[in-house]
Amino acid sequence: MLAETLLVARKDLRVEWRAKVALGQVTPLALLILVVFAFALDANTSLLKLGAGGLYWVAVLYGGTLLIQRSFDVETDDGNMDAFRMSAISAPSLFLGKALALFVQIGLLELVLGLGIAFFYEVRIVDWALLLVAATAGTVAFSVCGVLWGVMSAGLRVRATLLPLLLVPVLTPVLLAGSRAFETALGVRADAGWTWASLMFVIAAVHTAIGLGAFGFLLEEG
Amino acid sequence: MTVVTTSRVKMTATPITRVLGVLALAATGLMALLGLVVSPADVVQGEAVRMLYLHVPSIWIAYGAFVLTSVSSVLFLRRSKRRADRGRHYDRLAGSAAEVGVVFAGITLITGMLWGKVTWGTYWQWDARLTTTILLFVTYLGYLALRRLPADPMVRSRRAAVMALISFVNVPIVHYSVDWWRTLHQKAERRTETRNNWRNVLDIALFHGCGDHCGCVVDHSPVPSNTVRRIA
Amino acid sequence: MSTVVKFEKVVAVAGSFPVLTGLDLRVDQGEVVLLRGENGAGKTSFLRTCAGLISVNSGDACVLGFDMRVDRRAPRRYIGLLGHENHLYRDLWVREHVEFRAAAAGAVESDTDAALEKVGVPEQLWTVPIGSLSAGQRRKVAIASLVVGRPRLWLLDEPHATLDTKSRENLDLILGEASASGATIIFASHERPPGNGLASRVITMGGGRVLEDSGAR
Repeated sequence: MLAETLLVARKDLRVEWRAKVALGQVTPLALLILVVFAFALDANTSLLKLGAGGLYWVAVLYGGTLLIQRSFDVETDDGNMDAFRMSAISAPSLFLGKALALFVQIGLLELVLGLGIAFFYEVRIVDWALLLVAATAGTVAFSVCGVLWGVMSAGLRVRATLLPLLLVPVLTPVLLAGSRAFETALGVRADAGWTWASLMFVIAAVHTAIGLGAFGFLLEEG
Repeated sequence: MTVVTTSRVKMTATPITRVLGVLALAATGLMALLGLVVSPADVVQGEAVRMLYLHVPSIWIAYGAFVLTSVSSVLFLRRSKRRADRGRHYDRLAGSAAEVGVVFAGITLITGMLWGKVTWGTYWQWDARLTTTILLFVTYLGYLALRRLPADPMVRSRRAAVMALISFVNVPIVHYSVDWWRTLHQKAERRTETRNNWRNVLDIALFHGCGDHCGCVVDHSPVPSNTVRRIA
Repeated sequence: MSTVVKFEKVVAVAGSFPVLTGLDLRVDQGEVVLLRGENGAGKTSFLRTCAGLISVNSGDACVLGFDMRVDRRAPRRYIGLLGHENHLYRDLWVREHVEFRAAAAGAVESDTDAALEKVGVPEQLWTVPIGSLSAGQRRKVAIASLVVGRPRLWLLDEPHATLDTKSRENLDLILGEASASGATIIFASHERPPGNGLASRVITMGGGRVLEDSGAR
């Protein structure tokens, strides 16, 4: 199963490498959102510093949704879903493979956004370990939820609007937890940062379990 | 093989639902009477407490409806696994229950906001219950959106059923996280000093009224028009 | 000779529309079957039902020995399906795509080069993104993706579409070879003359069932 998972992940990443949508379009867009926040908050540096943790995750939500969308657009183009269904690769491997590829892409997005808040909002990182763990936890949660909900809106004509509508309520706990964990890591407030980070892992674990079980079923049509 | 197309919406009232309907109307009348006229104003909150008579049962109805959606979805998935076209009525039940749930969650939010304006001075507080409720509301709006999609009906029902199940698991997570984040909402709706017999009777009447409404709406899930029926 | 496809009074529904209405058909191993019929006759639906993509409502359906009513996913790894669409990742290079399909089917990646040569995709195109190929070349890449998986049952929907004459003959050769090595081929086609003599049996469909069968048993 590991080999199949890596095969699918490599394929997804290769598609991305050739098309350069994540790198060329989504990341700049998400970075721009950080800038737009500054406009919205009137470049109030102290406000931006206070809110950096949360604003970061909102930008990740925005960019992440686009990346998830793209991941499934590639599969529904040209009848690729049928090929997916017909392949000898097991559904759980398909699920994990796509999640892994998304993890890498969203991870890279977060790296750039992290640099963004460091430069644009002048944040100071107090707890590096917490920051990295929280970022990882959030990325895993995003990836797994993304694949699960992405397949639910895949192949439907209104998927561009449906996916965010379905995804955002599901990701709000992740957003909440991520923001609080980041705030602790950035020294904005003394909170239970590590507990929030572990909550994100729990959410990721729950959705992984559901995804492994339900993905095959969701892939079928008719 | 003959194909018959029916192009009228069939009314699905049965003797039982008619009785339920009458009872619901009666209970609603009783509720209005008890709530607005008979029951005394609260010592602390004044007349605003009357809003709670609608607010609290509404969220119970919403929770109940969403539980029904999830249970129906499980039954639908199990039935349709054995035979592809079986279990449709469970699917419709899940959808109807979600519609009721969304409406009552909406009522909860609106009455909560109005009550909040009078007692707290603001329409909204970022406390655990309110925030969770609005997330619940939007989640099931998304569920209803998924159900309305132009897609193969079986695909649609299937995905909606899985979504209902995932949401069922997710809602406690959301609740837990948000609760953890804030705890301000009035915990003691049922444990105030002015508790008295009228209050008990009132609650039961309210529950009945809302519950009967719920039952009626759930039963009236219409048969879709232009149903193609095969007489093979 | 084992039976590869056995359908008895099969009814299949897609959405709320009956696409197969009591279809009876038996195909043995090694046969090359041509499906003909008007648009909407059910050819595509039949192919998709054999592939397990459409579920069977009633009747008995057995593909490659698997009961389609019990588990319709089971035979898929042994089936090569080519629909109207090509199932290609447009951003990948030709070779990368076929390599992926080979690996997904459990085949050796070196088979990729052989498959691409067989279908007649020139080597200089192997490192070109699929999206920039012509329709005919894309179809050939799609066929190569199938070839590399060495399926036991080939289900092809209008495989000759967009191919030039030479490529069509080439495809017929490939299918002939596959059949000779034990694979079973069922393809739907509007081509005239029917299949260029490739098919050993011609079945005409209409209204979701078999109307005529040149090799009925």
